[in-house]
Amino acid sequence: MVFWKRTVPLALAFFFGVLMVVQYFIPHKSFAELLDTMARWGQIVGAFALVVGLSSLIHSHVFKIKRQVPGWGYSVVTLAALVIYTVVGFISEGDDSPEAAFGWGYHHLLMPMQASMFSLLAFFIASAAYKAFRARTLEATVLLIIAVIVMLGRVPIGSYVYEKLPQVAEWIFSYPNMAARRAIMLGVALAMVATSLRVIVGIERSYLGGGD
Amino acid sequence: MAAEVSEKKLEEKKSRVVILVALVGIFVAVNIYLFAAGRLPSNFEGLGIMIAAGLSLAIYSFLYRDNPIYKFAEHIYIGLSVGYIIVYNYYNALKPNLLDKLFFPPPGERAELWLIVPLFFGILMFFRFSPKHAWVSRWSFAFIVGYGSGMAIPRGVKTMIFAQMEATLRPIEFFDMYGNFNFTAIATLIAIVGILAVLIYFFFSLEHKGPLKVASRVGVWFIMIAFGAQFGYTVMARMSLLIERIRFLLGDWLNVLRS
Amino acid sequence: MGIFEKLMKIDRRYIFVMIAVAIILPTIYEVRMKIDISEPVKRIYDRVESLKPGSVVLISNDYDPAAKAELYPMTLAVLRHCFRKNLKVLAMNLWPQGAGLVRMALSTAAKEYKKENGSDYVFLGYKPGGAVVIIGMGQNLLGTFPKDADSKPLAELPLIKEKGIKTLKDIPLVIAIGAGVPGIDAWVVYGKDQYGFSLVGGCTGVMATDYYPYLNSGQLSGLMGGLKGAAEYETLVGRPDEATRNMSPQSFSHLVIIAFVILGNIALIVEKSKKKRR
Repeated sequence: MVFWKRTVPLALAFFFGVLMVVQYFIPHKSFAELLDTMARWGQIVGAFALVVGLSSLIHSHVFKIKRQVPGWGYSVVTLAALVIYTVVGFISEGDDSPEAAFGWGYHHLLMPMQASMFSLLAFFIASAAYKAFRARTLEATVLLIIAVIVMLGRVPIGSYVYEKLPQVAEWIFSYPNMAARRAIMLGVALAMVATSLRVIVGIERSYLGGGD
Repeated sequence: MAAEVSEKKLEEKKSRVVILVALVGIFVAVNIYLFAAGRLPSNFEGLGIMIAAGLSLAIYSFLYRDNPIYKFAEHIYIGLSVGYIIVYNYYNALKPNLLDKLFFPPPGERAELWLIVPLFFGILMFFRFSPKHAWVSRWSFAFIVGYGSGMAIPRGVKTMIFAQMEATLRPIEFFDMYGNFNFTAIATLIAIVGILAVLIYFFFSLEHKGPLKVASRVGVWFIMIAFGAQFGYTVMARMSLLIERIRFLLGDWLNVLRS
Repeated sequence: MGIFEKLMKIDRRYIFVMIAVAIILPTIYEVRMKIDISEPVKRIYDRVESLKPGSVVLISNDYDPAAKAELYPMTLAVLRHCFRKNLKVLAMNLWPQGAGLVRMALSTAAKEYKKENGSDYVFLGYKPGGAVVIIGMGQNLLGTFPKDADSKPLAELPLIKEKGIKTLKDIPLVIAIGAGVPGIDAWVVYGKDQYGFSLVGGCTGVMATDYYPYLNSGQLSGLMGGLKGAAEYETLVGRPDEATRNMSPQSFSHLVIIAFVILGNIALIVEKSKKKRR
């Protein structure tokens, strides 16, 4: 059983991983076709992955309702909205123009709610600016001064405060900021390559989940 | 004492219900006025704007405190969001790229049978929900992470490591073609110092002493500048989100804006 | 308790009200201000300008309504520029929930410039997978998008036939407007290097500083960051719209935030000096 449960997935990851690395370096037509095939497979599996991901959310709400966890009524609301909207979507055949029911739901329910939900952050960052952004150390002072320059430099009113402020902000982005970002990017890229290699050779196995 | 506390709580609850009913009442009254005065069109669009405004305000009610109206809106949002992705994913991905090609090819075209492979891997994923057979889904995840890693390695090395190093190591031109001093050369030099310093700060597992300590300290300063810049930009981004919503409420809904 | 201590302990809901007022008033009583154009935004404009009429531009809109405020104005401004220049546009999404926004932007801009769906522009719609979608398009665009977002076979659309578009190699410019992953990074790593198109980007303010290494290395030929980036592009195109109008409340809200930071820090200094005295 271990063969099917562990060896086969490890072998699959190794096979497809090596195949894609090798493919990159061989400029032959058949390898270009292979890349096309793999990309199309990837999209389809990706579409299933999305559905599976969402199904687990549905799963957790069904669980809450079954066990009558406090606040389970809200799970009913979620599932009802989901089922109704999905049915409407299939009846409208996925037409997302505002004239169709599915599109109407997108424009007048989903879009405003998502935008409003994220706009709450504006209030919290304002409150944090008042209560938490303190220049307690020299480094924090540098951070705050740069932040203020950027806040002024990236809005039109900044050039009324000091004409060259937009250019100063742009200089900060282009040189010192770029330097730190590039160093961070190099670190991230090295980590990504290392992790990918570990996956291919079977050292990194967290994607297998728990159990044997 | 306990009775007093519970009485106080009951009072508080009552006053909250009164506030809630009053707010809903104001919302209804405002909408009646908007429709009656012709500020909102009497059609599905007008109805949509009214509902969108109501739901937006329900979400903003969280700013006062967590409450059932906010929770209700939040849970509707989650449900709709998932529903939208399911439908959109079906009509834009699974149907045209898989089902139509495999089972319903256009007349004159053959079914692309090799699509059975990704279909197989896709279906295996659903075993995740069976406690006994969850391991079957590992095959699909192995496929995804395996080929994903294989694609990422050469491209990541080339675009995120080599291309970045190459850009850093470009020769600096201190003088332009007319022999004038090039001031951006100094900025470029500063950037190179910054990159090296931040790399030293991140990578050297040696104890930061002597020159390494100075370099890593310089690295921290560069990081602080980058974080400061990002923080300033983040404030801008968050404000933009709120501005857009307020423009919707004042303009599309209440119709009090000139443009 | 001193005045600063009292001020620092103020209920945060008062702060919420203040920030709301700082946005509502300048939205109603708009103050028009001059919009400076930054170099990375100008470079996008120049790159689009350099294309001959009839050239194909791909606009990848990789965001959802959470980033609508910042990125939708960018999509609209870029579309207006492309249509004004008589460029042919392909639009797509790597994020599912952004599709409705792109449809809205396309229909708005197309109506203004009298452009036809199918012959002047094509909406490809959404495909899942991020990197694999880009690679798929690089190898075989029609295989990745067999149909457009309206379920019409792509190969039969006049724009695709006329221009003979088969892969990303047939597209000189990609404009990636993104709010996260997959987004601009994916277009740099999986697209630009292998398929040779010019790549410019638009992104949310939160992410803008991340992309300067790509801008410096030339992997990105231009960048619009946040709402100001969109306002700059609107100014360049000569069609000031929502982003430009929103610069008024944007400016004042920043002033209020800066005032909050200063006030908070004065309180810190006062507190410290009091402690020292004690």
